[in-house]
Amino acid sequence: MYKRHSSLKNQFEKQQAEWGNIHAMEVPLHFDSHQSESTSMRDLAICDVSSLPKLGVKGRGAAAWLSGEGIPIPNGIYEWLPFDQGAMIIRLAPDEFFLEDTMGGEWVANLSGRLGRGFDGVYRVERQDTGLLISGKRSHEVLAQTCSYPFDDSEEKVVMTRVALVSCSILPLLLKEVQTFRLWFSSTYGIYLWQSLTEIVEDLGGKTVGVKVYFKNRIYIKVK
Amino acid sequence: MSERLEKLHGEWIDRSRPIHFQFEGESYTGYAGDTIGSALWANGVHVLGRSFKYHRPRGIFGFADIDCNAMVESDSATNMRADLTPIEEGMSVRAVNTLGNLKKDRLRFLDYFGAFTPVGFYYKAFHTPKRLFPFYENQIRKIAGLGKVDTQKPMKSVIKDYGFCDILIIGSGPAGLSAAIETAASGAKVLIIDENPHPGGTLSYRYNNQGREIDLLNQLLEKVKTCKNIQLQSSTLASGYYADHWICLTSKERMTKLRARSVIVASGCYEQPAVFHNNDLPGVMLASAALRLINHYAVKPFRHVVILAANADGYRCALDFHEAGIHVVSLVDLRREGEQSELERQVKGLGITVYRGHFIYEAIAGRMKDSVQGVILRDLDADIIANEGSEIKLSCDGVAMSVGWTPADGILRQGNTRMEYDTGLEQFLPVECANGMFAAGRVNGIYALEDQLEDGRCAGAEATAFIGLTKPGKSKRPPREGSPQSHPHPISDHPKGKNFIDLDEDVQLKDIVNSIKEGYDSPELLKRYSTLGMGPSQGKHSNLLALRMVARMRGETMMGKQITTARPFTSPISMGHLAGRIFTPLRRTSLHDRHEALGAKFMYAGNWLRPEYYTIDGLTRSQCIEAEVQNVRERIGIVDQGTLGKIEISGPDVVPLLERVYTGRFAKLKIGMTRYGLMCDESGVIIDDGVISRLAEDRYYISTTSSGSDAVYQALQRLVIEWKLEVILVNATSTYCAMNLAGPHARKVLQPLTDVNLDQNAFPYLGIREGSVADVPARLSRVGFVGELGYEIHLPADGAIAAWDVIMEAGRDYGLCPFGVEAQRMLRLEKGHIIVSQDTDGLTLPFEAGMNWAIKMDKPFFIGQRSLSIVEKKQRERILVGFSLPENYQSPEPKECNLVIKNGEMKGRITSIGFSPTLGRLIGLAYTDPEDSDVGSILRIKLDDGSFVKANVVKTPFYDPENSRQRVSE
Repeated sequence: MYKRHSSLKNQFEKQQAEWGNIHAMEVPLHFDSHQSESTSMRDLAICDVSSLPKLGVKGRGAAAWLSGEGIPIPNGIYEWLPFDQGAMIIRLAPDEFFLEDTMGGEWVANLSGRLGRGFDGVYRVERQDTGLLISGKRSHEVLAQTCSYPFDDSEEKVVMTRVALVSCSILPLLLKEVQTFRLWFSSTYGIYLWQSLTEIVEDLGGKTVGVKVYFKNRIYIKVK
Repeated sequence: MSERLEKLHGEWIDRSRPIHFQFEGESYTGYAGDTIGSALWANGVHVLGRSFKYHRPRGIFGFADIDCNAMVESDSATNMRADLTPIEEGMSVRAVNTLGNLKKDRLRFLDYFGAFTPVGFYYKAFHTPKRLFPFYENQIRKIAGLGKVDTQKPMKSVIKDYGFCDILIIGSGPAGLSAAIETAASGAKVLIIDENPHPGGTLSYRYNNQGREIDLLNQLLEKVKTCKNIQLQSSTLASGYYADHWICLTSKERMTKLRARSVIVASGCYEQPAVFHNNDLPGVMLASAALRLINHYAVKPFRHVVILAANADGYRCALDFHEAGIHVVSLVDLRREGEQSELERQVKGLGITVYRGHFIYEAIAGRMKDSVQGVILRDLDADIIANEGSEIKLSCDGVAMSVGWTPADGILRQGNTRMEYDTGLEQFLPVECANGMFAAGRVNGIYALEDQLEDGRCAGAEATAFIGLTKPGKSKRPPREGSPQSHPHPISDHPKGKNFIDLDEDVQLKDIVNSIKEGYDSPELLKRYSTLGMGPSQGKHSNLLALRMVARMRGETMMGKQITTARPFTSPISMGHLAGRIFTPLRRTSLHDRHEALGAKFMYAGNWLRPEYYTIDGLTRSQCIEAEVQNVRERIGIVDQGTLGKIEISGPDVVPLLERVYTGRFAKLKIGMTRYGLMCDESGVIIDDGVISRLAEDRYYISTTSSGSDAVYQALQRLVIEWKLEVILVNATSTYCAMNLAGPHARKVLQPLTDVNLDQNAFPYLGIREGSVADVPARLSRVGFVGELGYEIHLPADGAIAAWDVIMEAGRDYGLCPFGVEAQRMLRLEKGHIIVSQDTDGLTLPFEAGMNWAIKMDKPFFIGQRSLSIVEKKQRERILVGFSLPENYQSPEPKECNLVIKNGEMKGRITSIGFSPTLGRLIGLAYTDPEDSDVGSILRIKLDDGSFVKANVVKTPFYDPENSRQRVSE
């Protein structure tokens, strides 16, 4: 595996952080003590989770193939399901799926290997999205300042919308019982959107935190 | 605090928290909850500002967000309205629009020169002699305008956010609260907003002497509190309405763009003034302003007051004033019949004299025109004209006006609600509300308290039915009945003038009369000519009065009359609110960090940030770019092409799609090969180009221009659906990084890093291979954009830096250097390659740009084919040619867009030009007359300074026409 780089790496290099290697990508594990970051993640925090491996599968045979691989298939478009204690699958269209692994997970890497360049009716979609996570009881406020979609606490579907004018997929969920928003968007907007969002998070008294505070238990919990 | 009353039930001030502040350098004390205006009035300060034009002293007048003559500024903010802005500990403010200070404003003499500044004087003077205009302009600019913005102060950030609710209720008075409670049971998410710091509307300040309204308010608020789906937000103004119930809400620190499913407007009314001589003196105020001072802030507005009334409210005021310990000198009723209710008896019972059918002809000013000393009354004839010779003089220190109302209908009007004048109530009323918009309460012409509550309930029921939460029922709105609340003409002429219709702009009655006489007799024209309604209060006090004058002078009734168009914002908001946080999306390639480290000078290319060139100490921009060009020609360079549009296309119908979309042929393109693709629109105009690569039988990879990637992707998506093709499209622009390694040493540098065989025979020019570079999965293609042996390397964005670092290290011994956009542009220009959208425009046909070779007219179909088949038979009007200037040509250098002129006529323009370090001369591309397109022809190019330079038409490519550089075998 080659050495992967997050589009945001440069944003953290001036900060004091403990770095770690997750799926061949160097990422800040934490910037502060676990207790402090744990408090922040419950209040308001933002985190770069671009290191989590991603894969897209598209085509008329995609659902059958994924199912055959033992992956649960969400029924409706924009619905999602967790699997293997932390990985997730999202249905983006009747014949299009997005998968993301969790820290240390190997499902996506293995699937990716088996899919290769794709085959009849099943096409590979390379995913290089920047992934962010905004969490805490005031995370709504960050989105309210950047996104014109009315997120509902009970919503458990992915929303294709725009954040600070950038096209973005957003999934509201409970992570360690904390209201959390997962964001995926083009990595070419990574620095712009990171700077825009962290400015708002900091204005609201929130903090940038490392990935470790979220993924110790590797578990996504569905809202419903 | 000499004017402060005893503690009142429901007052808004906190007497346990004294606040110290300064006004015009003097120290004062108020209470938490006080506004600047209420605190100053409580301290006996009645002059709060100076008027706009005549610099007359002004005090509290309306006290409801529209006291535009009582505006103050501090070191950090300007044009704060004293009637709204709360006092803060240590605050120091001063009045705006004064020269010197408020008391001794050096411009106060302007009040005596009113005769020289009639309406529209600025249209009629100062323009001759012309040479003096700058002087006049300078002087007028110094005098005009309110407040000064200190641009040196740090910018305050105002939050802009989005909000959502099912039902927005504007106004928390009796109708608004009643509507909210009605909607609660439906489960609707309801937001009530009120511009005041406390809810209640009229319930919070009217008829307190009876106590009933405050109790009712508390009961309503208790009910609202128990409804979890109702949110009440004070100090928030609905300042603008846009399509589909998109409402702009503004508060001190925030602007919210709120989307509601339905809107209930229960915003009440603005009280209207009467017009008489000196109706602007400090101490003359609207009755509602006086009641707010009393009931909200426990401040006595005056000690001896004359009430000018034309409705029952005036009589209620008399009772309230009496209750507050104010001596009501007299009540002057404009109506000859007086008040036909119990109220008149009650007022008279307090010993208050009532003058029926009278008007205040004049307020008697104090010495400095800063106070009221009394009033002169005259009786009115049947035409509501004050009769001479029947004057009554009364002593007082204040006048309270209660002569009428106008609906606070800004939001309703912006929402296209039809408002019409009702001669029964003598005010505008909503006749037909916009879809999903409902009016309730006073704004709807409902004045009786019980009726307002019922009207609110009905509006609430209608709103919940509209959004589908309840079944539509027949809500029975209470009738609009009772005597008119507004007088049809509360206006009195006076030979001395200074009877103001518009206090914002100091527009007097005679100004309106003269404007109408001069022909500006429609509300829109009158506004522009007289500046009526153009001040901060936007005519809330003056529009209706002016309209009454227009009707009277034209001998018409008010039926069918309309005030000027309502537009956002309903009240002035700070520029900071409009600016807020600015989002300007900017794209960066995955190699951005490396470019920064290499000293790149960045440029904006669309929404991308790209390296223009890489700085070298001691070299100028041009020298850096030339060095980069030479390095590619002689050694090896690398350029970031991550901005290129990249689309993966798979599926059984890929070929039919490409054949229809591009002008060339792709059905027989071999796997592992690429081909140039040109895209036209239906009219045959070039819209994009790129490289089409075949990776497998049904798998293609295409590139587009950087600026065209999203548009091309969207167009392909649409066409796939329209043509019912089985094609999978993936926009991979952000997914893959791309870099072009070019130069004679390219193969030598790259071969050790890749598992792809780069041998000329194994990987020919225009070939494409999949493999890896520096262990990163990659697609390599041999393209010739810069005219050297080169490999375009596409790899996953997260592997770009890893590959880049390895390539740079491997190329060090070969002189590998990065090159930027400018060097790339020159390199391709030397090869004569066009850039779509730089060398083409919105009308360029392929034949004009020398792209005939890319058009396969004999194909069955491609987009634009039919148009091209027609225009190809016509004579060309222009053609793109290469040109060069002599080697020894000195400046001035022609620029892009300089015109090509022939016989005095424009024949074309330069699209690309630059100094070619390879050829040692200026070269370029330009459109010209086809007659002048032959090699050797002369182009006359008009430079920026108007001079001409001659250029020779030359053959393109300028460099390596045999393309031998691509066949380098080493």
